[in-house]
Amino acid sequence: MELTRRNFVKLGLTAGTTLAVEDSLGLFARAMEMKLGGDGRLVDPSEDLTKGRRYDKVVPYTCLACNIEDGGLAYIKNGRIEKLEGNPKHPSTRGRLCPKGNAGLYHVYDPDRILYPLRRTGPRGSGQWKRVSWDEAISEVAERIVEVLDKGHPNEIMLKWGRNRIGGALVRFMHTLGSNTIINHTSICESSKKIGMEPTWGPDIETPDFAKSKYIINFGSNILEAAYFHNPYSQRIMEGFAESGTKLVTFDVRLSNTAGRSHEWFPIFPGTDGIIALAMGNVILQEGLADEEFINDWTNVTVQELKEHYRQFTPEDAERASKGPFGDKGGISRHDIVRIAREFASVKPYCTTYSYRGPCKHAYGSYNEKCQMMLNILVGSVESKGGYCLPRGMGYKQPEPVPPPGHEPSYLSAPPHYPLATHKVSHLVPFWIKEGRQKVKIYFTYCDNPVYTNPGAEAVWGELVRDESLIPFFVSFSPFMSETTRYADIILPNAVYLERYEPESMPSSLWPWLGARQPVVKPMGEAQEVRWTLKRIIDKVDPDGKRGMKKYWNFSSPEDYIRQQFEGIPGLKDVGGWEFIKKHGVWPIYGELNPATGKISDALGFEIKAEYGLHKKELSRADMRGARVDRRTGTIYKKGKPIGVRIKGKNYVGFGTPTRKIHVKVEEWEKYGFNPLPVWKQEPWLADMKPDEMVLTTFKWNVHTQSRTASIKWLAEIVHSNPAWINADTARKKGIKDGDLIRITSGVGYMVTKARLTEGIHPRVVAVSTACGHWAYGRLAQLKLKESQPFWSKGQRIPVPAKPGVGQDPDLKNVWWNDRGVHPNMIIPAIADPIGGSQAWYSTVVKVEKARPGDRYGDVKADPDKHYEFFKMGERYAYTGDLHRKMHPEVKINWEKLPKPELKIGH
Amino acid sequence: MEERLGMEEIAEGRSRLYLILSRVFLKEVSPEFLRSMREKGFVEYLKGLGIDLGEDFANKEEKELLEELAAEYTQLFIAPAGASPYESVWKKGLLMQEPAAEALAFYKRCGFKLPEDFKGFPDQIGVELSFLGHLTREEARAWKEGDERLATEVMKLEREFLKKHLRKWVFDFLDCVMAITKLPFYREMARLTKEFLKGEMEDLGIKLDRSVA
Repeated sequence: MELTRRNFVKLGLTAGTTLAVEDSLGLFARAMEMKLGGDGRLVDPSEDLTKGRRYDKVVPYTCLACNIEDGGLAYIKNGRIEKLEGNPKHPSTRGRLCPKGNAGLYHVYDPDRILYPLRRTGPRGSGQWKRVSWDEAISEVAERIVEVLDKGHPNEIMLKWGRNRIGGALVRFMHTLGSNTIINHTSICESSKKIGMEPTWGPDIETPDFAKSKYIINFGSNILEAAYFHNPYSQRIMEGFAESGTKLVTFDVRLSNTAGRSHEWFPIFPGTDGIIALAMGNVILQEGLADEEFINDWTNVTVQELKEHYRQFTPEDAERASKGPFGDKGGISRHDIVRIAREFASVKPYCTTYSYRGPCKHAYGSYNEKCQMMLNILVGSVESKGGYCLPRGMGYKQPEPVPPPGHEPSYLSAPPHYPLATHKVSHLVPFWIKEGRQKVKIYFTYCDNPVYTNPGAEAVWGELVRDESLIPFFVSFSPFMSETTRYADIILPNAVYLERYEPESMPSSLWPWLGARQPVVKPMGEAQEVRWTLKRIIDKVDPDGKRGMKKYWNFSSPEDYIRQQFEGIPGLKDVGGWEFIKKHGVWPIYGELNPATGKISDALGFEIKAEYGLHKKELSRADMRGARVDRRTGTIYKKGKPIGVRIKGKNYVGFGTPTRKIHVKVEEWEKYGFNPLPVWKQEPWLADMKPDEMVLTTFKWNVHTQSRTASIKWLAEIVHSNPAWINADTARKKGIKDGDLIRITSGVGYMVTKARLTEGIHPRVVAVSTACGHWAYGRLAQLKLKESQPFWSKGQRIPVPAKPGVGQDPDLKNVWWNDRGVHPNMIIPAIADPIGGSQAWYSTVVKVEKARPGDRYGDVKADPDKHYEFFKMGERYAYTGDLHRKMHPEVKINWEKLPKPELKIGH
Repeated sequence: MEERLGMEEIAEGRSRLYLILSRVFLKEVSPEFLRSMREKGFVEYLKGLGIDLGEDFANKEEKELLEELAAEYTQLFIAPAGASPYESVWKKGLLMQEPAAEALAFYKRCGFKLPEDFKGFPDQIGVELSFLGHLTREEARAWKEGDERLATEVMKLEREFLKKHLRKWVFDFLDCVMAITKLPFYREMARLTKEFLKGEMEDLGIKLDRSVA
C-alpha cells in the first residue's frame, strides 16, 4: 500500500477510530454554531482580533533588563507586547529607556525560552531532559529539602542569586527553611565600592547631582554607557554640559565612549585611581583649598590630622604610579594632578566625583573607593547642589510575619576571615565547598550564571556543579538554558521580568520613588513567578503547618504579596496604595515631562527642585525629648541609638554612621590591621610585573548586560564579538597587527582571540569585553543555528541540505556575522579584596603574543588546580593571612592581638 | 477496498487523522494513547502503509517506552535547540507573534475557542492540527445533513487555514523532526504528517513550494 489520500482517509476511518485522542478532541470547544449567512457565506459575528485599535492597552512597569530599573510602558495588542517605551512619569528616567530596555520584549518571546519544568535524564550537562509537571517537580524538590531538614542541618541548603529584585522572597524562603547559606553575586559586582563607602557615611552608594555640577571627576566609570544608573545619569551629565558648563574629567585604562565624551581623559595604569585621588587631596589640603569648616564640623578627624596624613601622597608618586611599573606613555603628569585638583576645588561645592567598578575591582579596592570619595569630603561638596549627594531611596514593607534567620552561622555566607566584607565573598564559595569548610546538599540558583560570569567560570564553578559529591542536588529557577542552568537536576522555569510582580526603588536621581513591575502579559507557557514557586515548595515541605513555615507564606497570589508590601505607606496610602502604582508604574508623580526640555516640570512649568543637605535636617523638639548628647563627639543618642549630632549648638540628623558624622577614620578597619585612613595599596603582582607582561581588564557594552543579552536579536546585531583591545605601539613591538590571532596567557590558562589595535588604551593593558563568547544561552549567543541552517540541534550540523526560503528562524538569514567572540573569565583567577571581599577583576597579569601554531580562534583553556593555587595565594592577604601585616607596615597596632576569626550569623 | 467513499466519510476520515496527528505533537504520549495505538491494530495498519514505528514501539515494556518517548518529546519540542513546534518561531523568529494571534482569531471566527485555562500556544503544531480536525468534523457533519453549501464553505476555511498557517513552515518543521529525532516513532509520524498534509493541500488546490519533496 502507498501513502495515498485514499489510504489516509481509510486510516482515519478504520484503525484511527479506536485511538485515544481525547486531548486533541477536547482542546477546542464550540463557541457558536457554524451556519451560513444570507449571502451563502459563513457568518462572522465576532470581531477580528487582528484589526481595530493600534493598541489594546498600555501597561506601566519597571525595567529589569539590567539593574538600573527604568520606568517603562508596554504597548499591548492582542495580548502581545508590540513595543516598550519609557514612562514619562518616572522622575529618574523621564520617559527614556536604554537599548537593553527597548529590546526587553525579546526576553519574553525568546524562541529558546524554557517554558515547562524539566528534569535531567542524562549526566549533568548532557542536555538530556524530560518535561515534568509542576507538581512532580515541586514534590521532588520538597522531598530533598525535607531529607536535609530532618537531619537537622538546614544550612546545607544553599541559595545563590545573581539579580535579586523580587522584594525579599528569596531570603524569606531561606530563613523559613532555617538556612543562613544565602549567597549573592555582589563580590563580582561592586562590593568593595559599598565597603569603601558604608563605614564612612552610611549608605553604599552616592547620587551625584551631575546636572548642576561644574566639575566631575570620573574614576573608572563608563557612566554614559554602562555603569550604575547609566540612563538617568547620562541624561543629567548631558544636561550639565548644556546648562551648567560642566567639565568632565575621566580616568580609565580604556577610551570608553564616556572617556571619549569627556573634556579630558587620562589612560592610567589599572588601579592607580586611589593614589591620584590622594595626591589631589594633598594639593587641596596643603594649598588651603579644602572646606576646613566642613571637615572640622562634620568628620571624625581634623584638618590638621588630614594634612599630616595626606602629605605622603605626592603628585610625583601618583604620576609614577599612573604610568605603570615601566613608565609607559599615558598616565597623568604631576602638573595635571595639581591643575585638576585646583580646578575641582575652585568650583566647590558644585563639584563631584563618580566611580564605578574601575577603582573598586582591585585587591585593595575598598581603599581606592575611599580615596576618591574623600575628594568630596575635603571640598565639602557632600550633599550640596551640584555635589556628591546621599542616595534617596524609599522603602516598602515585608509582609508580616517575617521569619527570623536560621540558628546556625554559615561559613559560606559570612566567611570569618573576611569580617569586614559584609556584602559577602561569593566568588570564593566553590573553593570553600571543595575544601569542606561547609557542606552543601542542595544548591538553588536564581537569575545567576556563575559558570559564565564568575572568575574561573567553567574551571571553577563548572568544576563545582559538575561534581555530584559536592552538590548532590542542583535546582535552577531560570527561564533560559544558561551555562549554569544546563547543569541543573531540575529546572523550574521562572517568569521573565515583564511577566512578574515586584516592588522597586532605586536612588537613581535626587527624587526618591517607589515603583513596581507587573505582568504586562501573562507568563508564557507554564512559567511562573519564583515567589509563587517558593510558596508551593513550602506548602509541600510543611503541608499542615507543623513545621511552623506556612505562616510566613500567607498570600493568595503574587499580586497579593506585593499589595501587602505597598500597604500603609504614608502618602501612597492616601492616593490608593498599590492600585496607584499599578496604574502609573511609579509614585510619587512629581510633575509632567516637558518634551521641550526633557525634564519634569511642576504645574507652573518650572523644573521640579531637588532637596539638598539631608544631613543638615534639624531634629525636632519631639525628637530631642529624652535624648542625650555625647559631649566629646556631639552624637545625640535616644534609647541607646544614635539619632543625630549636635554641631555648633544645632541638632542635626547627620549621617548614617555610629557617631552621625562622616568617618574619615574607620576604626573597625584598624581593629583588623587595615589602615583606618585613606591609603593606596597596589597589588604586589602588579608592582612586580615583568617587562613583557600586561594587565588584562574587562568591560561592558552599552547594549549588553554581563551575561543575559547575547541572544537578544536587536542587541546581538549591534555587538556580538569582542576582539581584545591592545595599544597599537605595544602591538607593533610584539609584531601583532590589527585582526591578528593572539594568545593571552594568565597564571591559570590562556585564550585565543583577535587583536583590535587602538591608541585608546594604556600601553600595558589588554581589554576584553564581557557579554560575548557564550557556550550556552541560546541561538545567537552560540551562533549554532546559523552554522546549521535551516536546522539546529544540540550544536550539530544536521545532514539535511539547507534550503532556500524558510528556516527554523527567519531572522537567522539576516545574521551576517560568524563571530560570537571569546569569553575571558575562565583565565581570570579569583582574588578577593581582604577588606571589601570584591573580586579583583582588573589586575590579572598576562602575557600577550601572536597565536601559536595550532591555536584556533575561541580556544580557552584553564587549569582548575592553578585556579585553586591563586585562591590560596589570595587568601594570604586576608587579615588572617601571612601577607597581611607585610602589606600594612604603617599600621601601629598590637599585631599579636588581632581578633580571632569568628563564625557568626550576620551578613 | 474499491467501494467509493462518500464526501462525509472522506471528511470523517481526514478529521480522525488530523486529531491523531495533533495528539502526537500536542503532548507526550500518554499510557492511554500508547495502548490504543498498540492494541487495536493501528501499528500493523501503519506497517501496511509502509510506516514502521519500529520493534521497540511494538514490544518494549510500556513504562520504559513511555519514559523514552517522553524524553524524546522534550528534546524535540520542549527543551531549547530542538525542532520548535510553533508557527511564530518559524515565521517570525520569536514565540507568540502575529501568526499566533491570527490563528486565535481564525479559531474564533470559525466559532471555536480554546479552554479558559489553556496555557499552551495557539500556533503550536498540535493545536493547529487539532483545529483542522475539528473543522473537518464540521465538514463531515454538513455533508451528513446534506448541507452542501455549508460543507463547501467549511472546505474553503480548511483551505484558507492550511494555506495561511501551515503551508509556509510545516514541511520544514517536519523535515527537521525527521532529521534530528532518534526514535522511529517521531520520525515516522512526522513523515506520515508530511505526506498527509501534502495530499491535503494538493487536493484543496494549494500550490506547494518546489522545495517540498
